[in-house]
Amino acid sequence: MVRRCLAVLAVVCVAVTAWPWTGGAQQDARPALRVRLQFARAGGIYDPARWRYTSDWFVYPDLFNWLVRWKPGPSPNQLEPDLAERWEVAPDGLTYTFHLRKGVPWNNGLGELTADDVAFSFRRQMTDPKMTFYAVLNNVTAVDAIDRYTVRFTLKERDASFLWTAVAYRPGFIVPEKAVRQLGDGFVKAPVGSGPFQFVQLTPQGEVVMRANDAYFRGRPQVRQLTFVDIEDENTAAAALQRGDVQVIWTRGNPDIVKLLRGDPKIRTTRVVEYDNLFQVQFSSTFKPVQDARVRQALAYAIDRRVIAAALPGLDAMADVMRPAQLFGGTNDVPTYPYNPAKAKQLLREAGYPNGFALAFLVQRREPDTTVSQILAAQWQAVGLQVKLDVLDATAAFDVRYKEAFNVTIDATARPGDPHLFFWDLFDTASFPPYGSNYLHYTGVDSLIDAGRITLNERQRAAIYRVLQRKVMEDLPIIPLFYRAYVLATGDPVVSMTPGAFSMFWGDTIKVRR
Amino acid sequence: MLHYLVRRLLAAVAQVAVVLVITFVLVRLTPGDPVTAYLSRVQSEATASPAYIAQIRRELALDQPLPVQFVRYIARVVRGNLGVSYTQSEPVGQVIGDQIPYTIELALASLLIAVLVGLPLGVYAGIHHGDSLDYVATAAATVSYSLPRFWIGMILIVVFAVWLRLFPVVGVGAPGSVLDVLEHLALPAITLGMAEAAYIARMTRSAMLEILREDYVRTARAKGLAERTVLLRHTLRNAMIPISTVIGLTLGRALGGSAVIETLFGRVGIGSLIVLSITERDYALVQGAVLVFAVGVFLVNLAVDLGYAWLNPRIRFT
Repeated sequence: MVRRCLAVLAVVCVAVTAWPWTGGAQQDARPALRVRLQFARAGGIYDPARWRYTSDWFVYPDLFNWLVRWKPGPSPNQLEPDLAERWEVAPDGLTYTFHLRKGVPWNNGLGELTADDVAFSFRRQMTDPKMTFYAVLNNVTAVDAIDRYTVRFTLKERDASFLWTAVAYRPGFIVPEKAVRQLGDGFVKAPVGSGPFQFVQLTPQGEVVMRANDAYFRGRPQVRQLTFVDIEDENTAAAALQRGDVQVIWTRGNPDIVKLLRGDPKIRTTRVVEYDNLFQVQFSSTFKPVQDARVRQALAYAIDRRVIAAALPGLDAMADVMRPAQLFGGTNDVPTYPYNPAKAKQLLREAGYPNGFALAFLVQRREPDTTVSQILAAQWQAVGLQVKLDVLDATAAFDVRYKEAFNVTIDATARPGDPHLFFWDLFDTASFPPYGSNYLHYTGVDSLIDAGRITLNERQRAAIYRVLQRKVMEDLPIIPLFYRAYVLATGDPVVSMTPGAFSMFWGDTIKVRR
Repeated sequence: MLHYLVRRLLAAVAQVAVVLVITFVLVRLTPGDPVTAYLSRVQSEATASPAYIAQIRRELALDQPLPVQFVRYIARVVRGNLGVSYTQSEPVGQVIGDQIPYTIELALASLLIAVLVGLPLGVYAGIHHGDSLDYVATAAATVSYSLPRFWIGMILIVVFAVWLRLFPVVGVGAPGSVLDVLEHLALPAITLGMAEAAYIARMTRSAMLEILREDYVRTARAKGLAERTVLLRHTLRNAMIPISTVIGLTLGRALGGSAVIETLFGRVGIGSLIVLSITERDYALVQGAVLVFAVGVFLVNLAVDLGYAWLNPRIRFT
């Protein structure tokens, strides 16, 4: 009797424990993937209008949509319809009208996405100074829902970069009015979107869990669930990929890890060069010697980029211009400064520094900054400068930079697609710290930056930016070093995915082994 | 006993107050503040006007003089309010409450490994001092203690996770699945426990050597007691008094060492939280986490002191 009871109990136990695996698997055989979050986790603020942390940006494109988005890929150079099927720009460039797709559902049964949601998404950012992109939208005077599927933006003044900098970029995500009003501040932890995945939770274990939105208007994702995992250390991330604990990782600065991953036959690697992401030498307005353009040119001539390329094999494409010709508004037809230490010494003599000068070189403690700074310091010392490296953590380094209490530093500037934001951030007089990265307080190209922004004709715009680049390469307020690159590595069952640029993770492009 | 506890408690309050002051001052001496950390990410992409920056500083009370900030902070702490974490957008107490179980789990597991490995090794080396195994054990302990934990962790990951595929590399395991949690705990606990095992082994060996030379041990042997009884009852038990101090310190160090190990193994916990909060200059979170660590270390030390009485009945607390 006892034996029979135990046997029945055993059968029941097996049936109960096996049920989710058999029945569940039949319902949805798609894999659940784990992905390394590209940056260290902080915040977990999943309302894009309140964005504060780079790691959160990685998650947004999987939860939300724009009206227009840049075509997924490593080098954003083309816009494509997202929630808007088509759009028109008025001849005066002051009005943009977007026609929405019909029948796009919000996740969580909130009904259909409409023009009212679009208007709400922008208006709440335009009217509340606490919203992260309040200032970015200050050229927009009105966003009106003309009918259920038509929305119109009115600008104060022409802005040829508007689609790239406002609609298809950080302020442009569309959120459901109903959910934001209902949840209030709670929306940051329980976001609802229309994207390929829907938010499940940020677990106490620090993982961001999302499940596929099978009603996604571009089609059902091939992945049942995506979990973003915070792995700070790059070596650990590579080991986790090799073991299969995660299926997708990134690495930006460690050549040894790239070599390791490329040597593993089970791992696919893709090298992605971000030509809009320029790593550069920056100068302070408070350091007298570098106010002389000849000194900046001398520092440029002293740099042998081949040494940097050898130290960072496969990771970084060297740059001797600001914006390469393959990008809109880019050109290689500018003055350049190939390695020439004799010329560097001559320029230093002409500038009144025959014996060089002492230089405090501010560096953020991360790769590739530390490696690059050591190479630059050695090369500048070789032409007679006395270089002292100040290596600080990210916040401390920024604090020094922000207060302009440095001589020379290195950093990257990444602005996707349109050239306006890139040139504005680095060279406009409105972009002195704390607004932007014009640390030298350079004043040479304001009118060209303005002209580039308000000119709607693309050929004319491109010509303006070519002139601008010739001017800045002569004056050299920054020294271009290389375009940043990363290596995307995937393991089984991922067969392919479209690599993103600028922290964009396109989860719906993942293809898995069937 | 009660008198002793009250005295210890008062001393602990003073110690914790000193820790609070030091932490409060140190985090503010570090260049940058929460606003700088924020600006370093959003500069030129977001609202970063001086007026807006001033507004955030006001909201975080960073515009107040340091003494005023400190008095407000202490007043809050006394009421049991550790403030709100700027990075996590949640009360510090809640953030710490969510993550501390993972750190305690790691610290206890590493302590268990340290004791299970270190104590027998030390006892063996003490009893057989001078023979070849003693030298091997002592050398192994010295090497193990000298190696950086980060490096040990990486080697364990490569061997046991990547090559042998025995354990997972990152995470803390699925809540509710004991096996999964133990699998995720194994490598970090061994990494953290190995160095401590070496330390316990060295201390145990020294204590055993010292006790074995005592007259009462010679007397016990002269009385004809079995060697096992001499070693366990007369030697090890007396040696346990200094060893228990070492074990108590080990637990404190394991809590401190969790910062490196949690970061390496992608585990959540107070250690990795402190690293993140220092990077982000999240003052409230740094102060809260260090306070919790300080209280934790005090409690461990108190438990060790109370344990003396159990190990040696002659000890009285006055």
